[in-house]
Amino acid sequence: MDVKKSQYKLIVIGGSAGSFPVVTFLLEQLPKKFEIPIVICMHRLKHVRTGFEETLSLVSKNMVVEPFHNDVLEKGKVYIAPANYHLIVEPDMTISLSTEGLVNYTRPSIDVLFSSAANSLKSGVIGIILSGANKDGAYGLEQIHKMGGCTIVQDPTEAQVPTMPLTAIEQCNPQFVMKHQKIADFIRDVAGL
Amino acid sequence: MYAKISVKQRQEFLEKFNHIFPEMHMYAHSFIERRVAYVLQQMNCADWNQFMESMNDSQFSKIFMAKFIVPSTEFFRDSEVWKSLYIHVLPKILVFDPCIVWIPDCTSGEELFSLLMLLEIMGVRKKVSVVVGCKSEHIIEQIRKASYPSHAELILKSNFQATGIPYDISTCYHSNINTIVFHKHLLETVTFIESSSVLSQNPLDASFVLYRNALLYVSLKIQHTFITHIYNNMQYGGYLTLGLKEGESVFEINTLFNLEYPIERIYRKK
Repeated sequence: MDVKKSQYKLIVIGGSAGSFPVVTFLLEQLPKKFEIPIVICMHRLKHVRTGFEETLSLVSKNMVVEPFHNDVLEKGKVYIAPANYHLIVEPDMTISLSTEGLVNYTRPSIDVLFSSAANSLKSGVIGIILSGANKDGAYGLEQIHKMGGCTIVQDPTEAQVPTMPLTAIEQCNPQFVMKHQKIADFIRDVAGL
Repeated sequence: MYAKISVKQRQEFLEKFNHIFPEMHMYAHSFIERRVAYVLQQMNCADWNQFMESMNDSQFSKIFMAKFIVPSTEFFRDSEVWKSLYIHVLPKILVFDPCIVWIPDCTSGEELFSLLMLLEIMGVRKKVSVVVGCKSEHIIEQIRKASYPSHAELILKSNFQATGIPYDISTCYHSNINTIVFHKHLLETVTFIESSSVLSQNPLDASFVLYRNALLYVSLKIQHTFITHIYNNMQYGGYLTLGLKEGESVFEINTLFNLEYPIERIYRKK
């Protein structure tokens, strides 16, 4: 698979049950001032607002933020979709938040994040699906694939809950199915590190 | 699911129906593009030309607009905000005479009834006049019915419990087979205004403005225009609540308001 390093403007990561340790691991592995902004959408309880951003900040060398509406995506930052809001990537690399209805019984929805990123940035997106217990993300990863972006799914054999990776593999036929260590190596490599 | 109409379609839509929806130009372009696509999907309109033709029918366009508006999502959304209103803000606004609460963009009544329930719990509901702006008579009629699907009760109870306020919230409504219906007396001090935008509402001297998650859908320029208009209709020292993720992009908001409760995004007029 030919992966042109310079083409990527954004990495989007989606996960649900069992994905938190993998996200933590990935962020630990990335060096300071990482070249590509990262947006993470993880299913979470809406009443539990604190702890998520703080915990990831402890391990990440890059700034972890829960963005406000209209914030601009910047290199060296990791953005976490806020609880109870959909996060939408706009063509001008700004973030829109939305209280529109649940998608796949959830808000934020991985499908909304991934599809909006694909729609806005075309082939400039790397989409990564991690462990999870429902089918959210499969449609969005398919949209990234259709737009020429790069699609990666965590190997279901190591995922704590394999439903989300298995659905994504079935629906989208991703370019890469990898264990979490390989995913970390890949995104470091794509950024030219 | 996320989809968008094209920029060209958005332009065509705005040009053709500007006379029906003059307020449409206030919305952010990207929001129009995805929301129109959403409504097309909801109304099973696969053909763009057919949709545009159907929009000439006033009944069809009314249904379109009802679906286009993003409803307030749930009762007591963001429990920490309601807790802060209960403990800090509502007791403070009671010193204003008259005490007027303004909800400029009420789309489905969840925010309104959440507020009315809090005022009821505090025993001050009759001291507070509530002015509510709605985009259509249809929405006002629906809210006046005070009836919501029974599945909303679960969310209501769960969110209210998260506020930590010690009260049996189920005393504010009665349950039927498929619905919950709020006690009609809650609406006694509420005045509804049918209005296409905040700018056509002027409830002078509002003590508290509940305006959450509405700025997410309008352009940057309009965000500022709306906030300035709200500022001009508020009493000095009055409170404004925005959504938890709003406000940062509204330029000059910090010259008009102090952010008194940052986590809850509760501002106070300077």
